[in-house]
Amino acid sequence: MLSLNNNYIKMKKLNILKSLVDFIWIFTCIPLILLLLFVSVFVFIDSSITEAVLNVDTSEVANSSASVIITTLVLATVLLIGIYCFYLFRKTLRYFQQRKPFHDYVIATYHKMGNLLVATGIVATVLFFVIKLIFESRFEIHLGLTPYVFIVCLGLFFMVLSEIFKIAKTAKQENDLTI
Amino acid sequence: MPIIVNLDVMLAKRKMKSKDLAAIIGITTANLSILKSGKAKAVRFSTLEAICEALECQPSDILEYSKS
Repeated sequence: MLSLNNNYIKMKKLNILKSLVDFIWIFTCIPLILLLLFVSVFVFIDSSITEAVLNVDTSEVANSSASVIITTLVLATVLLIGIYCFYLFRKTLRYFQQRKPFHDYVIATYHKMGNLLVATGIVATVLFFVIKLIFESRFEIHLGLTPYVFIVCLGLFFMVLSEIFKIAKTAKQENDLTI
Repeated sequence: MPIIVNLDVMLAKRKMKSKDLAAIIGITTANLSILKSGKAKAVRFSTLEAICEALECQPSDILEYSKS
């Protein structure tokens, strides 16, 4: 009875997580994809629209439209990869609901998400460093917790999680084959 | 795996069917099949004890080590 109750509580948490993820997916990710496509198209057609969208400091932005385009593209790519990772995470939650946490798909997906996030974090850090160095002639290194370092940490976490799931899968198989 | 399970031989010697042995020792026929085919990763002492009791034999009659 206690075990059943515990399982129900665990499933309830998973259901809350799945609902939240679905909510974010429908109301944030899908409109964001459309917005990113819209912005990306206008970056190549008319960069003045981009300046209006990224209207942080117009005088500084207007100095180098190439840097604006590259920054926008990098940000759009990072966001798109982030959304894709979120989509993959949403898909793995279905396997958790079906009580298949150690499925090969979950392990492979977490590894893929880890690789994507680590690569994105590193590439974005290097690109922003290069953009600042070339277009703004500023040598800047952030030693604190930047969003890109956080992305790399998140990616490594997913890679570690994938390895742990692999170990757990082997342990489960051994347990199932113990007569 | 170097450990060979000779459960088939013992079952034939005792003229017992797999289904009957599974029923006596309280495991499923699917699990007994895994054990017989050598796919099992481990055997519990309680299962081994029940098999030995049912077949009136020693663990060495069921398990064999082969260097290969």
